[in-house]
Amino acid sequence: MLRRTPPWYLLLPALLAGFVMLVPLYYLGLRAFSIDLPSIANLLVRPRTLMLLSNTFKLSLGVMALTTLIALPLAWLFSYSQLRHHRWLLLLCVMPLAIPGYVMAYAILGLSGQFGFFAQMFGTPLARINGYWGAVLALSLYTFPYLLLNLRATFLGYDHSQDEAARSLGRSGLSIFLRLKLPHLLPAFLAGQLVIVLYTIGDFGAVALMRYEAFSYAIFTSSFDRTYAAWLSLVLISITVFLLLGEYLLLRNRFFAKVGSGLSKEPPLVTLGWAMIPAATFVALVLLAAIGLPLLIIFYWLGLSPPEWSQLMMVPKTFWQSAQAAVPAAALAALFALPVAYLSVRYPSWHSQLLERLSYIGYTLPPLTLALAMVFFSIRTPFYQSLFILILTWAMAGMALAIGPIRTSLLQSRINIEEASHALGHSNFTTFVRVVLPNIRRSILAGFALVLVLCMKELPIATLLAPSGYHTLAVRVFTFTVEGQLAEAAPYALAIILFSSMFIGLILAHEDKSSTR
Amino acid sequence: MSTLLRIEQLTKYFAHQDKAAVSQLNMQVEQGEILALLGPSGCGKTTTLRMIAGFEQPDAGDILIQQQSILGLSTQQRKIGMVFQDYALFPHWNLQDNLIYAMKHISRADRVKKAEYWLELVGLGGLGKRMPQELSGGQQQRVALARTLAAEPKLVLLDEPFSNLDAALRESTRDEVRRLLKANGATAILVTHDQAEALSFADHIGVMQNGKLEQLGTPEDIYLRPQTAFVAEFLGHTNLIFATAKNGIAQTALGPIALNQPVEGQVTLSLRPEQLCLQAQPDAPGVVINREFRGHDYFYLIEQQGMLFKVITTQQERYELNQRVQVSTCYQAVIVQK
Repeated sequence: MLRRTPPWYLLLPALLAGFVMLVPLYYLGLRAFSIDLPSIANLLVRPRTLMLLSNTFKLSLGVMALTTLIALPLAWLFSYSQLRHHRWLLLLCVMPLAIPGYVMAYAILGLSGQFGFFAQMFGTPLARINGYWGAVLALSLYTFPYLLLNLRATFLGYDHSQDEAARSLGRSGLSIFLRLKLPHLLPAFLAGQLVIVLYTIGDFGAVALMRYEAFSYAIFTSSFDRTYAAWLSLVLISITVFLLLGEYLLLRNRFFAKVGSGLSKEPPLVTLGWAMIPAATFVALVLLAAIGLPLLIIFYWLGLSPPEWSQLMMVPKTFWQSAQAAVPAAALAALFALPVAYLSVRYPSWHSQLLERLSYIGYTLPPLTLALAMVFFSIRTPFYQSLFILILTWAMAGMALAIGPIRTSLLQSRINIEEASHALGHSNFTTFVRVVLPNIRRSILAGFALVLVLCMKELPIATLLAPSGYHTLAVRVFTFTVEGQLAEAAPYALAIILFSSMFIGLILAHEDKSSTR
Repeated sequence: MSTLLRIEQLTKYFAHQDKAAVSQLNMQVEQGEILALLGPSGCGKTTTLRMIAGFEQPDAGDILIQQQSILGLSTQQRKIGMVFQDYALFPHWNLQDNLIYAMKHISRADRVKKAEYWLELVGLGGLGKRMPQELSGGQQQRVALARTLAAEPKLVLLDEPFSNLDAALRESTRDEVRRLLKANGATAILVTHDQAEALSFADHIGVMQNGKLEQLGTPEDIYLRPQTAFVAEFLGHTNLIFATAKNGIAQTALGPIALNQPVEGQVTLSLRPEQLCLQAQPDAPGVVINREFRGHDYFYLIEQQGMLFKVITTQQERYELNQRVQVSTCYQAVIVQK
């Protein structure tokens, strides 16, 4: 619209980012099609593939059901009821996002067994929670906030005068709920569930610790047969594409935004009365399970067999090692997200849209398949098992996260100030550095922080790509837990929770500030 | 006076639209003149402004400043200032820095002093350290103007600059901006859809519709001698009357009316409501259909021989509903093209 061709200093990095995102797909395909068709059929058409498919499907259904049971009542309570301290409680309910699935799995595993928390507390050991139900529980307890936030935003954005209009047309409460609220809620529900299902099918840590044979876990255990692993990855990617396409088809042409220019009316808050007790109990139960349990189990094991000083000192060292790759990865992601977001907002065309879509590949690919593809790519290069490949892959996995806030703040900042700068005689470059950048600085930082948190707790990519001798906090938690050394895993798990909850708190505070402004 | 800006056959199409947003536009602006581009939304006035500023590229035609085409120049090379509808102040800088950013042509040492000079001039002296968000709409407006003038542009473009101000502030700010522009000898183009604003602000008005310039002239010309029915109706209430003309006289429902041009045949006339007068007569052909008291005058709707006439009278002339009145005029009617 403004200037036909984007300046080279934005176009080049954006093109580079888009190109790099195609690398994993290319190498995955290369590996998968390195054998002839009959062998492919042999490889894929076997009961095990079907079993993996149905397991992944069952797991997704279970997680969807449980997260809905948790998030829907919470969303309602936090939007429409006079729940006391609801701001703080909501913040706490979002905190599980800081707890990775494998830590949740660790906590559930640490609850049961001969030396588990339950056995020590109540005398009899709790039957081991693992397999399907263990995986469903671990995944649901850390993913439900995605649904909660989506549903709450819709509840709050819902124009209550629609309800009043329906009532004045003689409609009953039930009809209003079914015909107005539910369709209104559907996009948020689907969007939230899409994120959750993508996490579920892409999850590696929780599923692996629970020894439930879903796709990611199978890809990991069959990594000795690389062609089979590549094919399983392709199937997993097809499922992802299918889901994204399905959501797009379901939601297109649906408009739920307010029509007209009147002010939205906020609904009157419901006084809970005696229902306060079950409501508060429910919130407490969710918080206890999602935050209390991991912390409790971590401290229980720390207390049961306190680590030696030398072991404890390994924690900051590992933290430092994690950060060594996570910080450059986050910086790289933010650096490349900036031109991609800027082009897509300021030079809208199918080229720039395509570039933006491409940069979502890294985030949408299940992390284990991304990591596997990067193994295929790097294995014949001198970079194989170098820190650089880990940094690059983390940056690819996180870039979409960094694009989000930058894109939003560019959309909010008006193009006028850039035009004003040109009209005052300043060049594109001066305008970009002196006018554009200062106004989106905070969102670039927010993008950086989001990617940093992702990398600090990331497991599958680190497991496959970390150079030998290089351990991240996540890898430590995972390997110790796999070997049953729950006490040794505890301090690392705690470090991850502390770090990422601190950042999530910061990000939420940032969003709070910008939304009230 | 010398011509500063000349626009020749300027045409602009937007993607996915068959009709031209701006079509073969010709006009010129003299040095030191204020021109208003007036028209309904979507008439192409803002697109014209954005092509002059260099934010859009025309598909055909030329834009010349002092006889030199500027189409090959980028916005930053054109030395054309723009005051935006929402002011577009840089939110991360205080007023002083906002102004200093405009002073590329001034040596660094003098910029702070010059910034204070401009703030002083727009009545905001001493507020250089304030952030734009801390100012009222009217103050932001004046900073935006000061920032534009501080770049010492050859031409100042104003895109609906008063539309975000509330009515009370609008008139005083308008007068103030006009005074500042004139005091600095600036040449300016104002884009607006508000006819009162155009009439009081500009030396010349160009009325646009459907991407075309309908009429260009002084405010008096445009209001009193509209050339088309659209211009007549866009600048306020008018009565469009169909009639047959002969020897400079038109035979109408109101009787014979003198014309401003000696034409023959079927014509359309425009008469402003205040150019008609009423007279109470028991057997007159007109009937009062509606009456609005508007404070400074009365606005009547009169039916006469199956036609409706709008008439404005002084507050002293009160007629009742259904009262019989005679509509007449003592003015020349203006011939307009449909």
